[in-house]
Amino acid sequence: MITIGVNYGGPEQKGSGVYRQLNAAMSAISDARGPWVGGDDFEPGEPRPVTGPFFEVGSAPALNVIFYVPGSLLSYSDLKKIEAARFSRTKKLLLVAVPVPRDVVQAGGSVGFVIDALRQAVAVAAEVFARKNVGVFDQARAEAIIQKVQEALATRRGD
Amino acid sequence: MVPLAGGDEAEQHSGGVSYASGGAQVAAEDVNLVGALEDWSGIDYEARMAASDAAWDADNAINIHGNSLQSPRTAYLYRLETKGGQFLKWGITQNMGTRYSKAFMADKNMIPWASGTRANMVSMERGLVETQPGPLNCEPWAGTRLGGQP
Repeated sequence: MITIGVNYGGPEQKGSGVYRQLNAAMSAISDARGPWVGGDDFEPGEPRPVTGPFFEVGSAPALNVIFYVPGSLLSYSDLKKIEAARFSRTKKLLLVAVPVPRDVVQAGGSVGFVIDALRQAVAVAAEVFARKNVGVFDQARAEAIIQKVQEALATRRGD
Repeated sequence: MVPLAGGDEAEQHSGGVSYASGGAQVAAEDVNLVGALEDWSGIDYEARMAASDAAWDADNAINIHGNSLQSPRTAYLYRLETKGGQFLKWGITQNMGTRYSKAFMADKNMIPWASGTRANMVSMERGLVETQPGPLNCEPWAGTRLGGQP
């Protein structure tokens, strides 16, 4: 399973092109996946959703892709490439950090960059979960979700 | 030692406050992802330890806890939002990379709003929480001056 989050580098990015694009990607993933139970959509003790899909953290290997968007306060310049950053064996959760290049930020985002980054993150996750022997990361399901994201971002082009 | 984050924009902590339009003020320790690794063996152990040590050197050298108002490390006032842009809370962190757990950052945006000394950030946060609190700002003073000047 897959989810994304974004760490911005400055307040000027709120409402920017890259902000809107990553929010759209986040929404598309959330719609395809359903609530992320065990995060703060639903706490572990709360009743589970009765309709639609949902994902419970710890039930299967999952990937949290965090985009780091450079800005006026933080450049995240120590991140040079897409790489695994944190791993929790108990939650079966891997965080993959994705540094967003400044030219993508200045261009207001890039569908190609987001989709390619998600696919690279999935490849990293598959390798890490296999190496750490905590179960098989469902790449097919992740790819299906990425396809949904691609469709969603493509339809909002030019808005 | 971790490379100085921010490249040409970065400045060492000078005790003031930096706003978005006021230039960057980023110390190496504050974007130290490596020092926060939980269980990732791809990073050289010594490099990880050195990065972690560097992040706390400033506090430890003068025996000040990182949460103390007197902490010399650069702090960030941040805004947490949902994927739909719904505002959740104001908060303060000294490491934008590791403030929230992996699960909590799912479908979230974390936006730094200002940077400076922890004392200054605490003061700014207090004003914002009093006047413009988010639903996850559970401090006793949240909303006590709703709509007022931060």
